[in-house]
Amino acid sequence: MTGARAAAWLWMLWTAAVTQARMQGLNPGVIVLGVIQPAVFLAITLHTADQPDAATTDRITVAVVLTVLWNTTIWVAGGILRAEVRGGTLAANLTGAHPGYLVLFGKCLGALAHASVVIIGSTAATLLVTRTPIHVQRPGWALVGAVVALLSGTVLGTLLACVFIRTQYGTQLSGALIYPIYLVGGMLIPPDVLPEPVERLSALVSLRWASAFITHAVGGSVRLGELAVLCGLTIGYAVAAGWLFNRVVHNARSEGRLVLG
Amino acid sequence: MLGRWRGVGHFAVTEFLTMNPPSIIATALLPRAVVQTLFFTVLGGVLNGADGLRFAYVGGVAMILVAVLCADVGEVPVADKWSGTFGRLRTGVVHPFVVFALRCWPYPVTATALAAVAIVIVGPATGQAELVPALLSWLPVYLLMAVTASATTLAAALLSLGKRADVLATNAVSFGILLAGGVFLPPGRMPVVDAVGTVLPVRHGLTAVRAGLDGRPYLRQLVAEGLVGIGWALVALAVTAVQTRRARRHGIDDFA
Repeated sequence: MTGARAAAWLWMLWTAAVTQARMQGLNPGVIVLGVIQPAVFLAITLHTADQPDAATTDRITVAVVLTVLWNTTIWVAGGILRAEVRGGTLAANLTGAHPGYLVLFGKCLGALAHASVVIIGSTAATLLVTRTPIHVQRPGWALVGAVVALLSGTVLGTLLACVFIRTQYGTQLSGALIYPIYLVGGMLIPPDVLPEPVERLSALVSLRWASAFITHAVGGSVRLGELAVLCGLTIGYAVAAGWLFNRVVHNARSEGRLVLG
Repeated sequence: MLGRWRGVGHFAVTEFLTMNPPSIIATALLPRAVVQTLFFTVLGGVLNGADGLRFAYVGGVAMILVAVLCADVGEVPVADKWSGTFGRLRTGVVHPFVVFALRCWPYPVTATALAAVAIVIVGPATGQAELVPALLSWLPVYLLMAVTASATTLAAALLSLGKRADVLATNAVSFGILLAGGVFLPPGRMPVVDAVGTVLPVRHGLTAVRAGLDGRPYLRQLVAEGLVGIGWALVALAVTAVQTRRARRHGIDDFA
């Protein structure tokens, strides 16, 4: 790859991300996913827990933020493609000079970065209102974990978006993908309470490692092994997403089944 | 008139199957219903032991109803807005509210059927198999909750349609029920939330189911659940009537 092409791709990623973040604004979907959802999840989990200690409160808070990030990822990725179909721009993106995958990745990144700020703001406000103290012992490492978790979510979002390219029932199908990850993703439900085969499966979910790394960083211990697994899984997802996206688009175009509205 | 109502009812089935063909019900809605209930039940156990497990199992089944209805019942009037067909409903023989209400009927029925499957699968999976027959006998109350939640979702969608805030309003109902409906959070933990819950669907119905399972009186809670549903249905009727009159006077064709 030439330097010029790399620069062009980076510029395109940046443009796609900024455009999407601006388009998001505080639309009803962002208010539901980023403001209402974390507040409700925090309220029900922290108030259902039987007198949680500081460590449990930290774990639940990190888990709620990542759980909400996962749900947001699913709807945001699908929402971007639905908007492309409605606006008639999907075909242009998929057949343009630059890879359609990069356009989608940039848009997902912008939307999720924007949503993450809203989610963290809503979480902080809920903790303040309910007078729940959280002490972040290693804020720098917690931030590193959060950024990698965001990238991981973005890659997963583009992977899931492939569903929307092939079927008009993407909303229903992606809705079905939310809770399996809630259940086995090692966030609100600790992996050790799951049956052994399911626990092994949860090791393949990057958000499990994000949850563990950030929770430990918040508590003061930095476990680089967890961060390494998180990064490794994210790279694996990225390779899979790039391959699957190109394959799905190619098949859909060659069979004339690309959903274009 | 009954024949016309039946015609709308038939159309409701066609509309429902267009949005949710059997293959999608089997591969998307059903797995989601089961795994969602499993998630809430296991989480209840993680956070609050055996009591939390049982509480969240009974409540998690009700949350299936809410998830299905929030996504689909709100879409009924939204479809008319985006298709520009509200004007036709307004000039029809059957009142627009009746058309909306009749077009909703497949959703609570399907949601209750999904709830039944979730009861049968999640109970044994979480070590509560002995509760399955008892909970299945309360399915009519879950159907009642599905109907009251449908009325609330329809009212929320109609109230917000003009401002294009239907996504916000219907999801607010859904999250409101998750927070204050007694689905997961036991009563008495947050007084403000308890107060809000009294005017929301599901809360009284779930209180009745839990009272019935424990052998306590439940009739009053059942009546309260029904009254909440009737109240929200009247709100939906009033909004539709006002909007119909406004549309006729001002010559506008949708929920502008």
